[in-house]
Amino acid sequence: MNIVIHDEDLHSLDQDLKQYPTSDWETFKQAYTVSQMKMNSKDSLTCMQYLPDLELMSHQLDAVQKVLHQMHGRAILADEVGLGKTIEAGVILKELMVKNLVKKVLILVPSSLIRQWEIELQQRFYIPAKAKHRSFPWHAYDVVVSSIDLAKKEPHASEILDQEYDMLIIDEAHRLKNPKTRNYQFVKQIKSTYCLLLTATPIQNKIDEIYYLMSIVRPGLLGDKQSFKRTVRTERQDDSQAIQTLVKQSMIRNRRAETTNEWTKRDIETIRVDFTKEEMEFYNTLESLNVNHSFTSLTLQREICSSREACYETIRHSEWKDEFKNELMTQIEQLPHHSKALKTVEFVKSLNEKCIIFTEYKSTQIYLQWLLHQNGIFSVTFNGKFRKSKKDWMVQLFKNKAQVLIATDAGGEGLNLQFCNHMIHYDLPWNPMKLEQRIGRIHRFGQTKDVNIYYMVLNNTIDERVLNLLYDKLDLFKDVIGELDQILSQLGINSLEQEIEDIVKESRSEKEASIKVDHLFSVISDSEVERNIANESS
Amino acid sequence: MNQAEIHEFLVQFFYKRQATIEYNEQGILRVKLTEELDKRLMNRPFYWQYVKKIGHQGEPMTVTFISDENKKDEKGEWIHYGSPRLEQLFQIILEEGKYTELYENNPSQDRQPLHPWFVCNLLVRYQGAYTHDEMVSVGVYLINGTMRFKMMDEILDQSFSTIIPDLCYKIPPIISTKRAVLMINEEIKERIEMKSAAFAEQSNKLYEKEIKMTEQLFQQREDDDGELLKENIEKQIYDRLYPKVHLKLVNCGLFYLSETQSKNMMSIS
Repeated sequence: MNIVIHDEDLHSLDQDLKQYPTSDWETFKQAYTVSQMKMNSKDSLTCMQYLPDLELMSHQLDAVQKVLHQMHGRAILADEVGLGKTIEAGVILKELMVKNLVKKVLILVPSSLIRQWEIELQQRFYIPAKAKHRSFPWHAYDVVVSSIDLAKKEPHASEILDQEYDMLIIDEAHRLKNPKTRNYQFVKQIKSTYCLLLTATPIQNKIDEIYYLMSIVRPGLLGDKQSFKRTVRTERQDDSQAIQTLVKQSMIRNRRAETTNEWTKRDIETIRVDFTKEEMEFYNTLESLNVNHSFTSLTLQREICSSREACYETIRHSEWKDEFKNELMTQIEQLPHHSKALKTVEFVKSLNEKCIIFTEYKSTQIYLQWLLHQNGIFSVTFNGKFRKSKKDWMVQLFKNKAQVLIATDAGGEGLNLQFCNHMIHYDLPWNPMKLEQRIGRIHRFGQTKDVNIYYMVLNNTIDERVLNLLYDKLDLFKDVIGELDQILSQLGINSLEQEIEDIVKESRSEKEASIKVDHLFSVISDSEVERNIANESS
Repeated sequence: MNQAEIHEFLVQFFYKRQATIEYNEQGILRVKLTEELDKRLMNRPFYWQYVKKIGHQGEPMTVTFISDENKKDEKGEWIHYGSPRLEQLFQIILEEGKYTELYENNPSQDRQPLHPWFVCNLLVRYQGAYTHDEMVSVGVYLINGTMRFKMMDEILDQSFSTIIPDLCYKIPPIISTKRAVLMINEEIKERIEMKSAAFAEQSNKLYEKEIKMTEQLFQQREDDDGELLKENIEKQIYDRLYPKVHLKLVNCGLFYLSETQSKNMMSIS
């Protein structure tokens, strides 16, 4: 019979007996029952009893079971953004560790996410993960988190390739779609018994990409390169689904629309503010400015809708004549406190709960913090220039002490702030994806409360125009927002924001602008539909 | 073990290991550790190294454990099934309870013999197409080699002590423990091979399929690093899917049973 029995424990038993001190009956019995408690039975998820605070959504539980029991621990996790791939990977890893099948683990993620993975594994899964640091070699810890960019460099690469890992996890694995890159070559050589690749976009452009990802997870499943290409060709002709069927053997892909989970609600409220007379006058001055420069009066209008400081800075750094600059700057200096800022402070006070304020401008960020402080409200700031440790510290402060976090968009990526459920958009971003990314910080897996979103809008200004032009239409493409990036690059649009700014600038009437925005949006959602069709048929 | 049982477990654990229990209400337990427990649990080797070096006694830490959901906000360490701390305590128990020599407590006033049994508890793990554990508890009568299974279940409710009771005397074993271990090993292997046919077949099938896929993939390739890559893949497939059984020792020991009990064990095997 083909079966191996490992009985090393029994062989070493005789010599060992005398070295153990004699235990009493109670402890002996306890050791027996503890071992019984830790037993695994076929096709069960043992680790869940160790994670009492973790509640899995049904699609996540499904994914975990499939990967463990049908795919035997090697798979591509390709759920859409925000469905909790990390959680799935964490549970799978935990289960394999609890079952003693996995001890040495290498986790490669984008460097911005290293800390997050480390914390998540430690706090949520009680897995002693350790971010790689130059003070210790790769084999010093059992569970190491690092980035591919670091790992592929010497001397790290050879050190890693010398190891025999039990489990390899790679986040954002679509970076491995090109077999000619060093990333791919490197990852393919890593020795590991179990393997998980995480990506929200297993196929970005070409069907070949799935072939290469699968070659890491389950080499040979899709045949060799030639036979794969042949299958693709015949599939196009006779419309068979051979490849999809095969891929499904080792890939999980849940779509947001298909998951049965009920997401908490999103309430959106617009808070309207009027400029004071002085402010409105200055705003009108800016609107009528006839300047021909790299930045336009539109920029200045948007800035003055945020804070005097934001506008002031831009003017100060402009290349205009000094007299002209000075005149505008003096005018700004004489303006009272910003109406929108005052209203925001008042609102935060009345809210009396944790909230996040997003602004586009750093000067506004500082101004708001100062103003909140004047009103006895403790706030922390957050932006992309902060070092990792400072970011962590700020989030910690926000969680435990401060009422308000004031963030700029650059700092927002990868932040998990689901302990907060109020978000104020102090400035409205002109790019809907930015908005979605902001909201995604709090409206994500783990959020238990309904999420409240507030737009701060100044009446009769560019704020209001954007609100009418853009925000009322956001529903039109709420389904594609997660993949907007790729769609735009395929359409050759570099910056949606620029596109919208051009429309606002060049249109002679509100009506014209509105129609143009409609067109833009419909192009985008059409192309998403096409992509989906292409995806399904592949 | 459920959450409500943890408190009692902690009390027993620390009481038994001479820690001072300073405060005890359901769900909250404050204990001052002993030096030994502090060294095992608190992970501060430098502190101990330092105080010893300067000739001080050292002060073990006082820790508060919270095991009631409703008292989670109190100051202390939240402890639940699966928390690393509880895991540490389990490890201590597993280590301390590895081996024993025990004598059956017997109320009888007469002089009487105690019969030697070797008891061995093993975790049998099947690993391949799936992972499945079984606990096997075997006793071997060290006089004539009679073997019986489910041994622990039989003696779990009995009372034993580490010192031989008054008026009792040991019958010296004829069979060595070494020999007993060999017998157990042989018997268990035989039983495993008899009952694992389905498991072996299912695993082998999966294993063969993956190996075949790999062979086909490398058929056309003749480059050098291909061979190494293929070896890695084959190893990975073997480790995951090939049917394996691990015999893991939980604990074992010498048990001296009264005549009636010993006969009892031999009659129902």
